[in-house]
Amino acid sequence: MKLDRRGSLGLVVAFGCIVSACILSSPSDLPQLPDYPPSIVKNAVVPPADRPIATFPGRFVVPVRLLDPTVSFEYRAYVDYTSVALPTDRDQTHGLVAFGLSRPGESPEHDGVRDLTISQLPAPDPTRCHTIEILVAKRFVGRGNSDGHTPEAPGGDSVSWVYSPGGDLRGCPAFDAGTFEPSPLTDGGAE
Amino acid sequence: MKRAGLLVAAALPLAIVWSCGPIADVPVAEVAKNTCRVDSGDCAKFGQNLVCDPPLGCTVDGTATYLLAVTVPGSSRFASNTTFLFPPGTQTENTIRTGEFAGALRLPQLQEINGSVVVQKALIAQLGRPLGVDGDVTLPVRAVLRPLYPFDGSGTPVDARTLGLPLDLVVSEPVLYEGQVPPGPGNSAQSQYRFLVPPMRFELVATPQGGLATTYPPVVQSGAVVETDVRGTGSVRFPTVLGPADLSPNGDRMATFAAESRDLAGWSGYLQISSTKAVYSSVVALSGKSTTAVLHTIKVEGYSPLLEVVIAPPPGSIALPVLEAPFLSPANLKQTYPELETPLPATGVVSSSGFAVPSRIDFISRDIATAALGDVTYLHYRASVTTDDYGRFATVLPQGHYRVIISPQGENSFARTEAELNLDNANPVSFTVRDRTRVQGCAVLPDGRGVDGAAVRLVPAATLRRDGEPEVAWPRPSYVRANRLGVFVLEADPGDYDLVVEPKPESGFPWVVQRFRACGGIDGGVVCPRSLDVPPILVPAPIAATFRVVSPGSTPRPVEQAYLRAYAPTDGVFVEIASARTDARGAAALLLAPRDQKVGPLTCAR
Repeated sequence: MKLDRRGSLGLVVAFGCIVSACILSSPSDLPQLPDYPPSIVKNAVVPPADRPIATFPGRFVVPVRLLDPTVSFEYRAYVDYTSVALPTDRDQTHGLVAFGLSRPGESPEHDGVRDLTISQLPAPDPTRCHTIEILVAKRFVGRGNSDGHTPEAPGGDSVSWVYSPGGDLRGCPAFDAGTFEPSPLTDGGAE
Repeated sequence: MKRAGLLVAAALPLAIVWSCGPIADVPVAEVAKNTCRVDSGDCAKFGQNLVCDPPLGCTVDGTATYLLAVTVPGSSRFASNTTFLFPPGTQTENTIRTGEFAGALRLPQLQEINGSVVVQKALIAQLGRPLGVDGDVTLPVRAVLRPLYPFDGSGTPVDARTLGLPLDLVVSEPVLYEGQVPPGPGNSAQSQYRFLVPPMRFELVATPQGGLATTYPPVVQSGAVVETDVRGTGSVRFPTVLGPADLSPNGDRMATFAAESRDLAGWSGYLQISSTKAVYSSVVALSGKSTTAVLHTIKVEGYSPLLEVVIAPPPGSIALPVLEAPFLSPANLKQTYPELETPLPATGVVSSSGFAVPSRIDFISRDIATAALGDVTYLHYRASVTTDDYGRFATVLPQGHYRVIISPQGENSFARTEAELNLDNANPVSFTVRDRTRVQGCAVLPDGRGVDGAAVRLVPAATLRRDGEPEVAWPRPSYVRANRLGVFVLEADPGDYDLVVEPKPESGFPWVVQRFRACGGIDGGVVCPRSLDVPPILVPAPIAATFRVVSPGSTPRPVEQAYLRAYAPTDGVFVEIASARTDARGAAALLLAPRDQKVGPLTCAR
């Protein structure tokens, strides 16, 4: 079978229409999102970080707000972080006790917030006060030592707890012990 | 040819539509999900008697026994950063029956405990320590609330924290009311304590501050805080005004603290509660070889905890054990601190197969050697030391028998290892650490597929805290994520763990928690295999417990971002088995693994 000129022209036009229609109907490129750092929803961490903890919890739950929920981010957990390694810190960990990568789908997510759960922290020396710090960032400078405490651009976020075994704050860093002023009686309600 | 042209023209719109259809997502790796269509029989592959309950998927139509914990976020106006507990069976008691929030779980009102410790003028005179005011005086106190379980007071209450519940001490330092009249009795502007707590059962210990604890005893009380209609003081009646009649009779608490040969200057003597180690009496400053004084305690009706008598060395002492003996004879107590054998250096090295293992070493005494009484168990001593890079250590310990816990430092495969030390000479000792046990297994669905990407955690068993095991002796936690076939490999220390398999949240399958111990005893010894296969772990279709959490009051509101946890009662403790966070409606679903699953033999995918 042979196509005459008009038939050939029709096929060429048809093919061109298909391609051009696709091109015309495809959305224009969306502007690239700015590179936001992950941010911790501090008032929803578990256990609450606004008071000393007297019993070392089995799990730390840190909600992390992400502009793009499909991104991964790194986390690091320190107990008594020191910028200069102490003589007893022969591995130069500077207090690093856990680190890892949070990928989408591996933790519960809701409304752009991903719950980072860390349950592998070993309980520190129960005879004195400690500061537990969890940092999140897309990446950290260095790997696992003092540099690992510094987020790369665009930055990161951190939350810390004072762990005071037995509830005695002696030897702890200065901390608002949670005394509070009398507040007017209000009805229940959540914001 | 005209026909061909017409045909092409007719097909053109169709081709355009077909070629420009939406591009479907094609996941690189599909996570096994719990999904189903109603009345489709999709759930048969996960077991019998399942119902399709979109969007949760296939669920078991059953009930589970669990304790529910609700932690309210700091952003909430109501009870921010407070954890409410609902023991098994009590969730329904707090369910709203009618109206807009019918079926929702109503959190109870917080209760305010606001008090002070006031000593009457007559008591000040009796105790012989003036407080600078001619009249009744409010003591500055540090008050601690310790949560107890059961919450309703049935049975013998124990510290709820030892049962694995997510509770903590609640501490109130003296509150300063500048320029205000304190709301309680008394005359000091710095002598109030104030708590806002959920209805629960607590032990309160209010300890005088500012050096007054050597004369004035702490106030100890236990009671249940119940919900009242409005926020207000619960049913706990804390003593607020102490007079001479509130002290226990002197004859009951006359005590003599003595030492066989030692000068006890700088030491202290007192009574403490056995279970919590909270100070229960005034603290006597000792001097010379013998001190006789009255141990003042507050008389509390209906509360008589087991007590210990304590003789404690000055803080920072080395090689001096603390004496903690059962308080058996309430009248005319005489407790003597025995003469110790001479402390000895404890030196040695930690190694494995000839290689040094830098470690932290904890020594916990089992008994202490005395000169006249032999080995006694009521003297207690603990010390920790860190080795150098060559595994060497040196310290000084009282003579006796010790439990030694060696925790290798750094990233390696050495296990936390336990040893015994009988320290009766100065010879160096050598400790050998084991390798961690390699634990491998898999998590599978009822249809035989592996649980792709499940988080697998080995966490110290919840029973360890209940049993009083020191935290330094707990096996260290371990974590890994299973591969696409649900296969995992972990490293474990000797000891008791809870093995937690946590499927990816998007999968719709529940956590599975089971007990795990890497080492077993054979012929009196402990055998820790280098490698251990765990039988395949079934991750079943869940029981879905859905909640909508609302605040109390006349206008309930959803509590957004509340963190919900379910705890199963197991072996006398509570083990966390599920968690979820509420959405903007205050709604969340907890996925719980049914306990009795009947399935055929399982195998790990390879």
